[in-house]
Amino acid sequence: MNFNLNNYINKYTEAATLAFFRLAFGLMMVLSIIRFISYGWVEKLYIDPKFHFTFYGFEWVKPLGNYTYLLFFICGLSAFFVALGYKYRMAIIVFFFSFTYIELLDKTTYLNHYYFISIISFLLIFLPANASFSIDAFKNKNLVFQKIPSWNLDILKLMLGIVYFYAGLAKLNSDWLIDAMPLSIWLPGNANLPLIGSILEKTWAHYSFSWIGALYDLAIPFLLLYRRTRVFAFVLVVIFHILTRILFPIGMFPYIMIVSSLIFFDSSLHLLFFKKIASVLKFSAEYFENGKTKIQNYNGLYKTKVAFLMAFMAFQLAFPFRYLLYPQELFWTEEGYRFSWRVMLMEKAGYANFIITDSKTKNSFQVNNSQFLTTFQEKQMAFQPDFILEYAHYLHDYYSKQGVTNPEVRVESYVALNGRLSQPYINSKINLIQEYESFKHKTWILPFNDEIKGF
Amino acid sequence: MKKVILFLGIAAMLFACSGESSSSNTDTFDRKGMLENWADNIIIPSFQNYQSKTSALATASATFTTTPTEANLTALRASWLEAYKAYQKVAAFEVGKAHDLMFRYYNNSFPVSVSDINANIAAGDNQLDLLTKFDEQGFPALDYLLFGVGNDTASILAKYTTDTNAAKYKSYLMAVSTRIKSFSDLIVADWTTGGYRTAYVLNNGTGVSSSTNKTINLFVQYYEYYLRSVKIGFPAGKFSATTRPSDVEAYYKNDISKELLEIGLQSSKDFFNGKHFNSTTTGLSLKAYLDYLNVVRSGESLSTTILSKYAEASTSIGVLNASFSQQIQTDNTKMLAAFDALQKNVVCFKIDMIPALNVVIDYQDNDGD
Repeated sequence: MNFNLNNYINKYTEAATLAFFRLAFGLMMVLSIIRFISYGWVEKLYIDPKFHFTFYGFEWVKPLGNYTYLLFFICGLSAFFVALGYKYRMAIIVFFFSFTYIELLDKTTYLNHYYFISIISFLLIFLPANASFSIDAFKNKNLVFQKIPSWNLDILKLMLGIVYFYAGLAKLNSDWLIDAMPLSIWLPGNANLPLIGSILEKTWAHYSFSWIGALYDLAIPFLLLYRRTRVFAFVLVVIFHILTRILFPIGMFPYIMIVSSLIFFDSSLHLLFFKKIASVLKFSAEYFENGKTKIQNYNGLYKTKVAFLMAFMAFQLAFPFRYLLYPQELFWTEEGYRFSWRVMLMEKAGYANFIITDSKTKNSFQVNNSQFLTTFQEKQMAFQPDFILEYAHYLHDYYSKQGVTNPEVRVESYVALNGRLSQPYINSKINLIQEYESFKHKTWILPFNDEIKGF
Repeated sequence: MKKVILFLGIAAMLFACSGESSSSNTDTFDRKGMLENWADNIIIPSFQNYQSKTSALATASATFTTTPTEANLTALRASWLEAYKAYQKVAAFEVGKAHDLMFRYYNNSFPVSVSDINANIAAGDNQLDLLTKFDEQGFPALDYLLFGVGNDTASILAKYTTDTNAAKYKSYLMAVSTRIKSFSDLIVADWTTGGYRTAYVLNNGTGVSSSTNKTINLFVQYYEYYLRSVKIGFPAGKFSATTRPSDVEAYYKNDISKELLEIGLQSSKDFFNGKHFNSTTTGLSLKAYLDYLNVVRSGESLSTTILSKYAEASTSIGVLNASFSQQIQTDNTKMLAAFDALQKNVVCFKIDMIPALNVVIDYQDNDGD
């Protein structure tokens, strides 16, 4: 394995594959946005709540009231333009910013797959995804290239590979493998399904699903990369994701992953796809097969771009491991849990009861959370320390205005994790107002009375 | 190979178009059987018992208002207490008609507004069906009318005999009692002849509006809000700057607040166990459901944990004064300790039991990861 960067940078591949990905990704995003709006979630998640949980460093991202709909519309429209490859560069930039802005509005709704979409759309800004089978290229033949640098596609494959492989690594822990948790809790809930329902209550099934799931995540990037196992791997991808779609409420994510994994296939498949489309839409596919190669000038700009993307991918490889810098159990403290491809690893529920104390009179009273939070926000807040802290400060500010003198905020909280009985969670003696959000370890999280071994 | 991909593509599209499955999780536990046990052996008999007690209460009120003697007052007070105890056994079941009628809101909102009741009496205003009149009627209003309108039995009796407003007192008393009875009549009728029992049992899915879901949520809410907050938390000052001893249940009778809570706690526990009303027989229940799903938490079956926490709550309530307002004034720490003991099962129900039963408490059907 003698890897030479210069040689690699000068390898080329068919532009049709990236164009296919652009089209598929764009359409998926259009569907996602339409689905999101049609479910009334814009209202429910971004307009109705009085208060939003912000991401550390992004507190300035504020909801826009009814204009949030406009933001969604812009996001959906730019996704549609991306799919068509119309004013592509502008469209993908607008999509990346509008989508990411939406995701930063409230961390209650954080999902790994939204993060994934933000990353992919960010990468697509730098890639010539409109070099083939796009309206841009159709209108200007100088933009048409049949071949583009291989790395333009490989970077997406690497990102997909990271998502799978890291999700697999995260499953290598004692809860998942030794106790079959949380699947033992979740699977019986589907016992009424036809065909497979009856087995979902069986212990051996919980273990099989856990182990096969872990192996699948770890192996699938390699099975997709290797030509001889590719078709088999794709069959697995489809079965796996359809199954997760049936068993769990995970929205569009399975379809996005299924379609994305098609980029591992040979470009003949994507060309075939476009030729079928061309024959239906009565345009000539040959127009895009001009034999031109997108040869890059090795100028400073290009070098900077390549270096930047390499650094970005290095960051992607390293960032999920940041949890190693924190003491205590990751699942308990969640310090370093988000943004690291940990999916479906925990059945976690919390109960958080806030007590406000007037610092002058020392009088105390309890807070009714539903006065400030939606049920969904309350549910998410109750087992995540950063949420609890942010909410405590919000309560402090609210009750200050209500005339309580410099309110002290304490929380009596319990958390149940992966089939363990609920345990006290946050040190109820700590006045949370004296604590501030940072990347430092939160010392006021009580110890977890158990050990979870593994990644 | 192309065929395979084509086939999988079509399969994926079919799944994609099959729409969202909005149903929440289900299992193979006999939920219908559990609902039947709840309806036939617990809820309906409890309401029928309540109905007979409220009927006796209305009769005793009629007897007293016709012949306002001390003996009749004593009898009326006794039947009020019986009905109030029976109320504690149905208060958790605010489904169906009880929900539509806002049963608890009208029948047991305390503290009562003494000034409003007095104004109503003075004005001869017996219109009790307004939303704003929730704290001028029900058992707490009778508590005031039978024990609080004077300093002793003689002066209370005088309000119904020699007072210039005696007739208005009597008609107000009658109006309150009759309304209590009419609620119980409507609820029992709906369960038995109105077809609600059938609808209740048939709605045995696991969605947000299923009977299972509603009943479990009510069971938890009753325990957390009515037993813990209303009966102990509010008067013990858990949610306010100072203690509020006059906010206890049955403040004017004063010596039964503990007993009423104990009955409520016992019926909550009996419901958890699926124990038939007035019998030692048990049927399908939350306990059976948890055991069927083999819900073990930290090495102990969750139902065992919950029952031991019921026992802890009973113990800490057991040491309290029969009068909570006295207890608050003499040693409120015991009240707060009882609150904390009750709290333990709130946590257990909400974050150990409910997720294990896949009961939806969250109306947000958001995507997971």
